[in-house]
Amino acid sequence: MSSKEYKVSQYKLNSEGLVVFLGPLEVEVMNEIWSLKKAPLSVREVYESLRGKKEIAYTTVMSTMNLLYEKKLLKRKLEKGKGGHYYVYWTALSEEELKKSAVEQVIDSLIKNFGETVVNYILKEKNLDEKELKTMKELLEERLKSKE
Amino acid sequence: MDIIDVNPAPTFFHATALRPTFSAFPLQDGGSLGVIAMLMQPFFYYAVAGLAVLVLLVWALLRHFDFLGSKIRSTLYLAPLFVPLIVYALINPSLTMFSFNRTISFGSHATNGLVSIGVIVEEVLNPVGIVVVTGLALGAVLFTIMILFGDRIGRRLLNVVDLDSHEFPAVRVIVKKVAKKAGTPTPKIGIIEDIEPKAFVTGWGRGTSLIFSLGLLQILSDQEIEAVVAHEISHIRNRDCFFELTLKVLRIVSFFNPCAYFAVSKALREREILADEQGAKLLKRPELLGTTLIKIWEALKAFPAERSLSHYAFSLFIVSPLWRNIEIFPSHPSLNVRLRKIIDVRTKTTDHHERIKTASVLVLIAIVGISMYYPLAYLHSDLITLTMFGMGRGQFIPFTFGITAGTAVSLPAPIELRQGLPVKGEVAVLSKLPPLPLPDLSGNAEIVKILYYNPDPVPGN
Repeated sequence: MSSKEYKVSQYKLNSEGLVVFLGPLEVEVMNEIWSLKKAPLSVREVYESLRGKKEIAYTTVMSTMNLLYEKKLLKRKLEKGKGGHYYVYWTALSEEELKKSAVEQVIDSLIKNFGETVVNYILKEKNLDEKELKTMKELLEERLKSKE
Repeated sequence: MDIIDVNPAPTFFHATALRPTFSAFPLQDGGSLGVIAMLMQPFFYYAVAGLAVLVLLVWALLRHFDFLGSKIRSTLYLAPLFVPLIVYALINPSLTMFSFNRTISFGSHATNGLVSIGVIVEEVLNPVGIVVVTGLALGAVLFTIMILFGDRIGRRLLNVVDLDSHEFPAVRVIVKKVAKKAGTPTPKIGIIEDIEPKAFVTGWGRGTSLIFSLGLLQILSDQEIEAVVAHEISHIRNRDCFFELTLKVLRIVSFFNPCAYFAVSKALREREILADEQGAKLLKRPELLGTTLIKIWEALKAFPAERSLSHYAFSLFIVSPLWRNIEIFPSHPSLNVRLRKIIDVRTKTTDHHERIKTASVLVLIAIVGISMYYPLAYLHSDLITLTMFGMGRGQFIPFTFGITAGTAVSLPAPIELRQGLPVKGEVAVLSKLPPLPLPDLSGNAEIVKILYYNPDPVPGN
C-alpha cells in the first residue's frame, strides 16, 4: 500500500459521504484538519477549533486523532515547543486522495469477488444512456486491443 | 546680586568653559574607585548588605538548628528579602545626585582679568538610584501582572486545556478524595499535551487548577497519581502561590543582589520539602510519594533538562513545576534530600520540646533583628529617626555653602556632602571675590536646584 492509499476496513451502506468508510467523529476531525489548512497541528488546536462549533471533549479529540494515526490517515511527529514535548499531526492524504483510494478499493473488491454480477448489474439493471454505453464500448475495445 | 540658574548656562561665560561635557553617568572619572564611591549610598549599601547579612545569618542558623520545620525555615529565608523595602522606605532612593568632581577655571577675559576657580555642582542621574528604582518598578509591575493576569498568562504560555467534568474520571475522583482529606476545595483539573511527566498548580482562589501532563498520566498508576496529587494539594493548602509570588517579586526588587537569589532558592526548596512532608502525611502509604518521585525522575532523564528563557518565564506563572531544570539557584531540592525528608515523616513524632526550641530560636532571631536597628540609626542619625516604632523618614539637614573664587577649592567642612551621596537642598556656587554673603536656603530644603551666584555680571558678554 502506498502512502497515498487508505486501507478501507468498513463500508456502511446506510451512511453518507466519508462516514461510509470512517466513524462520524473521525470524519469530523479529518474535515477540521483539512479545513484548517495548517500543518502540523496539535490535538489542542484541533480541539479548540472544533470546540467553537460543537460541544466536544478534549479527550474525545485526542483519542480520535490517535485512532486516525493508527489508521494511517494522520501522520505525527514529536515537537518541542511551548509547554514541552508534544505530538503534532498532519494528514497523510488529501480529501480527494482519500475518496479516490477508498472508492477504488471498494470497487476492486466488488469486481474481484463478484465481477460477473457487477458487469451484469451495470449493463442490465442500470439504465445507461446511449452516450454512457458508447463510452463503455470504447473503453472495452481499447482494453481488448491492449490485451492482444 | 543676581541669582542665575546655571542650567541653562549664564551667557557671560564661554559656554565651553562653563559647561563641562554633561555625563548622565559620571563613572568614567573615578574608575573602579568611582564606582565604589557611587555605590556607597546608604539606601543602597544597607539594602544590599542588610539582606546579605541576614540571609547568611539565617543560613548559618538553619544549618545549626536542624529541628526547625520547613514552614518556619522558608519564612526565615523570606524575611531578609523585605530588608531592601524597609531601607528604601526609610532612606528614599534618589534618581539624581550631585556631582562635585569637576573643577574648572574660567577664562580671564570673561571675568575681566580675574581668574575664578570653582566647582561646578551638577545634578546628574544617579545610576544606583536608577537601578534600585528599576527593581522596585519591575517588582510592582510583576506583582500587578501576576495578580491580575498571572493565571491566564501561565495557562496560555503552557497551552493548558481545561477538562470537562466527565474527562479523566479516575483522576477526578483521586483529586476530590485528596482535597477532601486535606480540607481544601477541589481544584479544577487541566492537562498539557506534554509527554514529559509534569504536574503543577496554577491560579488561586476559585481559579486554582491542578495541571497534569499527558506524559504523567500515561506513566503513573492511579496510586502514584494520588501521591502527586497529595504533593500538589499540599502546595494549595500552604498557599504557595502567594508565597512564591512574594518571593519572586522581592527577588526582582533586589535583582542586583546574588543573596536574594540564594534566599529565594532556599525558600522555594523548603516549600517543596514542606509539600512533600504534608503530601506524605495525606497518603496512607507515605513511601508511595518517594517511589513516585523516583519514577518521575527516571522518566525525566529521557528528556533534555530545560534551560531556555521561555522555560524560566513559565516558572513565573506556576507553582511547583515537577520538572527538571538547570539552575544556578535551583527551586527544587535534590531527589536524595526529598526522599530523606519523606522517610523522616514516617518516623517523626511531634515533640513538645521541639516546639519550644523553635519558638526560642524565633524570639532570638527577632531580638537580633530589632537590635540591629539601633546601631544603624545611630550611625545614620541624619537619615533615620531614632524611633523604633512609628518610624518616620529622617530629615535631611538643609545646607548652604559657598566657594570663594581665587582660593583653593574645598568643600565646606561642617557639611557631610560627598560625591555620590544624594542630597536635597539648594547647592551652589561659584563667585568672584570677595566672599559672598549667601542667602539662607534652608527653607527650600526639598527643592533640588543648582544656583549660580554672580555678583558682578560682565556687561556686554
